[in-house]
Amino acid sequence: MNPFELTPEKIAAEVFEFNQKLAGGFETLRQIQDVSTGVSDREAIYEEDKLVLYRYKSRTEKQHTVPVLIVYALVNRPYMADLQEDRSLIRGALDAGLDIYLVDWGYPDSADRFLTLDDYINGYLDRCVDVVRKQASVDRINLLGICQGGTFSLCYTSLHQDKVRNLITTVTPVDFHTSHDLLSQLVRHIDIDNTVAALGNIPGEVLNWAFLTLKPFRLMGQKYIDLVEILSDPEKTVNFLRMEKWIFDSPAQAGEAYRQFIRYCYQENQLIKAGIKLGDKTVNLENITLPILNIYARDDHLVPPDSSKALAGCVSSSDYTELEFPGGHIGIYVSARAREMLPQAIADWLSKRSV
Amino acid sequence: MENKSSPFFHPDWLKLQQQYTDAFASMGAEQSGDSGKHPPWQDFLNQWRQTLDKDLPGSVKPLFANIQQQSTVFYSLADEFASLLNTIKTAGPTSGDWRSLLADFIAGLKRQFDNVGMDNKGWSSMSSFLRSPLHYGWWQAMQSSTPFVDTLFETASNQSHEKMQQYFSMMPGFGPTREFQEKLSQAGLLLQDYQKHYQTYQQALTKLGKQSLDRLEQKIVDLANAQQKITSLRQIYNLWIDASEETYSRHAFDDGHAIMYANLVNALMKYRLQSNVIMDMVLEVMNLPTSAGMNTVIKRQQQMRNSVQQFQSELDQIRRTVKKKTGAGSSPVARKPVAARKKKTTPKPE
Repeated sequence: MNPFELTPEKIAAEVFEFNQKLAGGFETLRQIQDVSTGVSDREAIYEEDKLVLYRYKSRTEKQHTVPVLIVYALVNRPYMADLQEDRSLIRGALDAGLDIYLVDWGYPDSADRFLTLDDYINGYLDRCVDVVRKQASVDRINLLGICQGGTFSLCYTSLHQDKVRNLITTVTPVDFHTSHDLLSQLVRHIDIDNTVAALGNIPGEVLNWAFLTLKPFRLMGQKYIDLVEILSDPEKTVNFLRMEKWIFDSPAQAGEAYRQFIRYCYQENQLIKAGIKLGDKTVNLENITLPILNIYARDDHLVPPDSSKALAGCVSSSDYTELEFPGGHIGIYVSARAREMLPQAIADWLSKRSV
Repeated sequence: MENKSSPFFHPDWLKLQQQYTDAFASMGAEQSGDSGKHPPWQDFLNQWRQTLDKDLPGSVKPLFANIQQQSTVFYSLADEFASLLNTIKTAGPTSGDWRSLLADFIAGLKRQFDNVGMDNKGWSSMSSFLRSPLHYGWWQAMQSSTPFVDTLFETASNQSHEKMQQYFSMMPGFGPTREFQEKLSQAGLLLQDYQKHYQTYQQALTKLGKQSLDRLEQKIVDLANAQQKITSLRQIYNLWIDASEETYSRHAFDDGHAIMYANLVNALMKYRLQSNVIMDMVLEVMNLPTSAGMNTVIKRQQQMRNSVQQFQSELDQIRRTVKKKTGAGSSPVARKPVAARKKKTTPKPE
């Protein structure tokens, strides 16, 4: 049976309809002057080089006594966690009574070429933790790591557990050699020493390319045809643009730190083998005994669930909880479902452990 | 569906294309106040964007370019499948041979890949929807890391390996010193090596493209076997995207693909590194700072900063110990935030 219930005329009509939407959409696009991101009020409380540590203004009368420091990745920008009012992990966490701080690593330039993972984790991050501890007058704070920031949080906690009360990791790669990890597969044979020697800092465009090649036809093609369908709706179009802005807002990566991260993690999978050395200290996840909430995304194509769930077998914590989010790597922060599910789940989990 | 009163509906596909693009271009021209000539439909979107681009806010322009690019893909798909449907229609409604017509059609599309051959120009003569985003994406991404000889690099990407060899064999040695000439010659060899790997990558994309078409054909046949109907162009587009992703994913997880991809990146980086060396030689002759020199300075500064941080940390420790011994309050952390010494910034939305 011929499956085509289509004629050339019908195709022409469909293309015409598509064109009408495109033409109408042009008007929508023309009226969009700026796409704002980062909706929650905050204050910079510490700055060092390109790094800024923010504290978010509380939105509740009573707050949890132990603050939460969000450690974002070096890749892309942290406003993804506070994209817009109805799509903000941070807003949700504030509404749930959490006291939120966030590390913004900034945009490295050529002067940052030789920053190492040691500088980032035992340097910048440790000093941020100290500032938050001092400000909140507590000895230990809660850490919440996002993606690569989760890996950083794990490294940090294994070395400075005396300063961390509870650890929350979200879509965090732990085992970098799982079978569904295409990113890891693609970078496995890259001569990373030569790449960093040639480029110095790694341009954001190169990273974007790497991420887009994981699903090239959907991410570089189909989504723009999907967009035409919603171009008549200014609100939906702005939401799309906001995401698009975030996706392509990619800071360059400090060359040496990038070299170490790719070599140690993606190529040699040393995080789970206690093989990462930061300065004169060795990261051993078995050192971690504190409570852990490990949140992963079921449909994550960047950090496959198996990669995150490997954490369970690496740490010594007797209080380890896993939470599966039914969505993808980005949806875990920006979807309506995430807004409903995650902030409250995190707040509930913390309140049982921060009293 | 046919409506003869409208310029947008006509059984003659080519004529129809011209009519709707003309009409659509008029709409665009109306908005921009431009009533210029209308290009053929293949160039129509380019023309339209160029006309309207000035009216768009800067933040939206890259997005609009992407929409335009994918719309071209969509039109190209429409064009190809309209031709198939015409063929099936001509064969008659009772013809059960749609499968062989589909197979011929897919074989015809696959032949377009054969024209790519060793010369990159073949890509541009293909239906837009057959061109892999990996093909144009690579060039876009690598622009940010291309060396100073951009034209040469672009030439290497777009020429056959044989042509490049010929090009370099004819190139005279030039430069102020013998060493400089040698470095240039090495760069030439590295560029040829990159070009060889780029070609291998292109050939892999060609193979992927053909296999995606086989997968698309299979998907259409599967739908027919399941008594399901294809009722829209968008449905065909989605099937093609699914087919392409499935085929790509199967290849990308293969070690052979990872090695080929790494060879491509590594060859480019070797060339880039050599270009840096040549650039440094030029800068040195001009008594200007070289990248190697800058790296030394930045490295030393980094070491000094680490030493200062170390001293600061030890000083803080000593202060805490002294404070404890003298019985002063025991704050959890003694380190004074840098913010207290530095200018505070007003937090702004991103």
